[in-house]
Amino acid sequence: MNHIAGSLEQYSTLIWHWPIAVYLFLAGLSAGAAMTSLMVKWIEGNNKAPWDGLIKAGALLAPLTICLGLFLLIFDLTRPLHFWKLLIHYNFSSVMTLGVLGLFIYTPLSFIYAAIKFKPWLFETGPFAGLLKPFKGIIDSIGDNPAWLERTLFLFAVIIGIYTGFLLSAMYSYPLFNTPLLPILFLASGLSSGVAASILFGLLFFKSEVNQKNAKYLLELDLRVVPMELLLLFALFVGMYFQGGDKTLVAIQALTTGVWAYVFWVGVIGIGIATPLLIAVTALKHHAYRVGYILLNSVVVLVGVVFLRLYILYAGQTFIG
Amino acid sequence: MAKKYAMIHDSNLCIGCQACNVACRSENQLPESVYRLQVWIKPEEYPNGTLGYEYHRQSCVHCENTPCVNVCPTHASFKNEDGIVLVDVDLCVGCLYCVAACPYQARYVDPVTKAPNKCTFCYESRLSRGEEPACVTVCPTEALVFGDLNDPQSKINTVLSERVTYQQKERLGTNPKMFIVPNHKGGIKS
Amino acid sequence: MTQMLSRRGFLKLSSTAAAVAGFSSIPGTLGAMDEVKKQYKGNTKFTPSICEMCTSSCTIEARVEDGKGMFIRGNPKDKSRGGKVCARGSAGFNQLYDPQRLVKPIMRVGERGEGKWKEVSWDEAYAFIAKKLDEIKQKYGAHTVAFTARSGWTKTWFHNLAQAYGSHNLFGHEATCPLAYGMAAKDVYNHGSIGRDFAKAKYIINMGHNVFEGIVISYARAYMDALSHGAKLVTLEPRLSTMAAKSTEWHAIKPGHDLAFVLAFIHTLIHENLYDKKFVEKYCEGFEELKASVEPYTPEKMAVECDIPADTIKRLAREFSKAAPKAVFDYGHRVTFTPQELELRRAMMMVNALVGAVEKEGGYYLGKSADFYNQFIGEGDPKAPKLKKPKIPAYPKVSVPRIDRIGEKDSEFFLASKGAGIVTLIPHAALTELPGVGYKIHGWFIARNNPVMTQSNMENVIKALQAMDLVVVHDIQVSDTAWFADVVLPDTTYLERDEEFTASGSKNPSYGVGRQKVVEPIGDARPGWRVAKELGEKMGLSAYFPYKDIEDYRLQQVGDNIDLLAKLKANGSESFGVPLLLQDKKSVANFVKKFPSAVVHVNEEGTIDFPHKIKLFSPKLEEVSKKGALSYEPYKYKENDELYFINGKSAVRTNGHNGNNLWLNNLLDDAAVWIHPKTAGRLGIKNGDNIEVYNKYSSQKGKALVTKGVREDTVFAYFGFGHVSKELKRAYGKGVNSNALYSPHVSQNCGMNLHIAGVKVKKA
Repeated sequence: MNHIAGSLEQYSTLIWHWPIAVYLFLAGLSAGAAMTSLMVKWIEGNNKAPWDGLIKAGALLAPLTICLGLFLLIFDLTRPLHFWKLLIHYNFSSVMTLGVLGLFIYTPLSFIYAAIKFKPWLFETGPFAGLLKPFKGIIDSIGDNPAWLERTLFLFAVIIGIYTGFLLSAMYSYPLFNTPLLPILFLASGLSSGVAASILFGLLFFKSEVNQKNAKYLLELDLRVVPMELLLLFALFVGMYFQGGDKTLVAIQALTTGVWAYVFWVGVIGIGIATPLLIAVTALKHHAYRVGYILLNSVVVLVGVVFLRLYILYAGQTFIG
Repeated sequence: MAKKYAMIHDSNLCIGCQACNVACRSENQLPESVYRLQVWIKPEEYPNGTLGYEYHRQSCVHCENTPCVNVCPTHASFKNEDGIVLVDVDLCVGCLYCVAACPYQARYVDPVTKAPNKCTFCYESRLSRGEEPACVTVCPTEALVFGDLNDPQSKINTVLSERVTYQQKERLGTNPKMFIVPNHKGGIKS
Repeated sequence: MTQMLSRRGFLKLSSTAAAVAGFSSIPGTLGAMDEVKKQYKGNTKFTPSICEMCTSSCTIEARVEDGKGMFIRGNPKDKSRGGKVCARGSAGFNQLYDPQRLVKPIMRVGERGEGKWKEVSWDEAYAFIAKKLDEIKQKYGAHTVAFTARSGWTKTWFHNLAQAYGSHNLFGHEATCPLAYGMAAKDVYNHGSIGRDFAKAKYIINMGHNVFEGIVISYARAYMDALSHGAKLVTLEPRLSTMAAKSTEWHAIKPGHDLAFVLAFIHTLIHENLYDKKFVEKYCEGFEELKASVEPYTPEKMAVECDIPADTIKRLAREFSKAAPKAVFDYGHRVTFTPQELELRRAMMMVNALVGAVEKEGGYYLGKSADFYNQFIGEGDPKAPKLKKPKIPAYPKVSVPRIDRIGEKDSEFFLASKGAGIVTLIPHAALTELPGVGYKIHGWFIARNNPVMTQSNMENVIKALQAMDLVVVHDIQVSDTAWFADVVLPDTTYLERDEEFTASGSKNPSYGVGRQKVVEPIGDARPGWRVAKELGEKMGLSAYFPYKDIEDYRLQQVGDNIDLLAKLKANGSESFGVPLLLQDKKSVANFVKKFPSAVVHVNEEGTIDFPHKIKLFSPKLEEVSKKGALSYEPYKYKENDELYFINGKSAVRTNGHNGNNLWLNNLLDDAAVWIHPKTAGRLGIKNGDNIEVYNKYSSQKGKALVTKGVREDTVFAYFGFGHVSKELKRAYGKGVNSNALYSPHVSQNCGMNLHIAGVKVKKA
């Protein structure tokens, strides 16, 4: 029988496109960078200015990337001029509302935290010193080591990292999204991207201020998180496979069908996971400090996480059983 | 007392003629490129080797537990007191979370307002005038039955007690208020 | 008072209405008009009327909805249609505001079919047509202009004009669609219309009467009613139509071989003594001739022909006779399946007579027009009113035969009415002098008909149009036929038009309002009654149009029965008396209760005898063409290396008429051709491939739909696709035009086209 019901275009299940994947990546990276910065700062001896380059890199990345992400998010709305309605209407059963509330707290905190780390530049040497002077008193009054602020920031960084996963996993219309492991996977990969970006950023822009010991600490951290991601991905797909029905079908399709299967095996696994592990057991064996390889390692981790977000978003919306 | 509006699509009576599809367009003045309602005719080969067609009504199923309303950050998508899921375009920011979250692909983005929209059981137009939804009004073979589940005397309750029905994707717990009478020829597909 | 909305306000409020999207610059179209000139007023209360999106003429009602558009539904007062309407009916509003619709007269300035037009006033158009008609009259005689009009209303106006002008060559579309079954009814039952009580039937045999796609609302509902009550439905059709899919049994019969099946079916009924002897003896004549004529057609022999196993044929005959009288052998609607159409339909109709399922619940019944009904009512009881016609002078006598020779003593088409005629002969008669006719057709006046699209062999039709001295088309759009016309006159859509009242009858006499306008005509479109009258006046024929306007005409129709007029306008329809089934005791008792004088007609069994014998053998057909008995003549439809090509109706687009409707075109704009997986595999064709369907007549490009729902030796396409008028912008050139692939065949005795051809298919 011919199809006589009219165009099927509106039934495409591909609703969210690359800006959302990039937002998910940037939000995770922001959260990861904030955590990275705090973890390095919490290492004994790192709690006073001049701040380690890695602390500064993470502190700067966190607010910048979340803002960039939110920009993308707003302009990806079909009614971007109405975005402010998100800020005054809340639905507490919606992960998006919860995310908005989380970002309400997380974003300003990340700015204050960065301001503390860049006090001299902001208020004395930088081009905006004159403009920002009135705020100096506030930042000064917070002090260099505000435990409440740092703990809250860390907590909300974790929340933001996880929320990006829940945003997708709350939808049972898509089997690949609707899995309890997705938020953890996103948190882990967010942390890994935060670490990588901090190293990359620190070594590129604050190289002289980076303590080799701190860099090694982060590399070790990354080396633990990356295999963790592999484990989570493994558990996610195997778990889906054993759930039966649509889930089984989607798990198989997503790993074997079309361009997204290539993205997964080459981009996510090959570039994002295998390459860093390979670098770790070869070039950076026994914690060798080879800046070139460390930078390469960071780049492949970041590229891998971008692929992961793209893969999950697109494969999730493509394979629905 | 609040109403609980629901619909039955009897695929034995349905002939896939699209009268509902066009009546909906006419009543709701839909933009040319989008549909609130289509009937998909799918060829089927039954286990005994015979051939036939299955008729699927593609539209909002008006869930009791509404994924679309749950995910909407601004309450632009809401369920009204009569159990009908509606969109308040004014509140909508266009995040399309509802479009993505709907397991029934019932929502489209209106090319004019850019906000998602969907079947409303003709709530704004016809129900308020005491009329049935346009699709029900025109259906040549009376494959659609509409009514209030809270009214024990309603035709829909009578029909529900007489015919075997199922709801699509019941396992998701959405509890749609669209009941399907399966084609006698084939097995029940949910 | 009803509230009126201005069109401009209406449009402003419905800014998203697809109907006004896009503009057309073709002279005379709605899209080319000044916004200011588009005056529009609409009724916001439901107005009962009749649909015209296809020819089924279902009862509807429509209203303009405040600030939104228009809603069309079935007329709920019509019980047989239950207030329902199909997709095409719902899309009527879209036709009204189609920017591609014609709203001013246009005249050709280039060659025919070149598409160069100029806008003219009605006066100019009338003057041109009148002058040309006069020229033809002087040169060849008025009878050399053929007038074709759509069934019903359109015929009333234009056939009147034709005869006043002096032409007796009047035609409808019938010979391309339903004619043969009407002829068969006249021959077998001596009656113009045979009803089928599908709803009450327990057993129905359907041979390609696909009312679930070629939707007639009342039939679709009645069939569904029967199915819901557990009736057995057996469909014999080469493809899996919706009807076939809903059936209890579907048998993919070989295209063109239906008659073989029916003859074997009758053979079984007679040879196994399954027929109703009492009924046949009392009410039928010619049984012995029938018995003798079907003698050779054993199920075993015919099985080879029609591809239905002999056992199946016999089983179905046994089951059918067991279910009788609640049994209907559906005689179909579009009757273009075989060159032996008249035999086929007569044979089908004889089946019901053989099992005595006539004028009984769940079987056939004779349509009860006022005249037929009134004959059973005696003095003293009220009789069903008859609609009158305005008094007009006698038409000029024409001394030569019509091109189909209807009215001549030896005409093979004697069973066709003069209003239907054999329209399929026009292209032939324009190109050659037909035997026994003595002249060629030189002009064609076509009202609301599209022969380029609907007659078999498009090339032949176009060639005929090109050869004519004058081609005039009255239509709402530049149809494929209008594309080749000299003048195109813009018709109103049915939502803008009042029509004459109608009288008909199913189980009792009924009357219809015809059409009532819901909105005022847009632009300068004019309805048929007005065009015929105005043109007639221009030609000095005012005496033949003794009515001021349609309202006046209707008043003359009802005479002093103002009550009927009021009821028809308010309700859309009206019936008289009680349903009557002559062979049903209860019904007859009811009838006598209502009309006591009828008691004299009741026989000893409490029923009423048929006023005429049912003819199982036709002396007149025997006399004219030796076809009194049933016979089967094998016909070569295709070469051995060809496939059968057949067509059918889709539920969302019908015929040549509504394919360009935006809403409907969006539902289905390039109907893919059905081809069996094995055949497709052999030809290297995959689902969705571009293909070419070709034979000696045409080569058509389309898409392939690979499906098991069609016989291996057959390809199927919906018709009404592959339009050739470039003014039908949405539908132009999309899909396979099935009529282009058919031969210009005109069947013996019934004049039907033949909708089966041999084709080859290849990947394009």
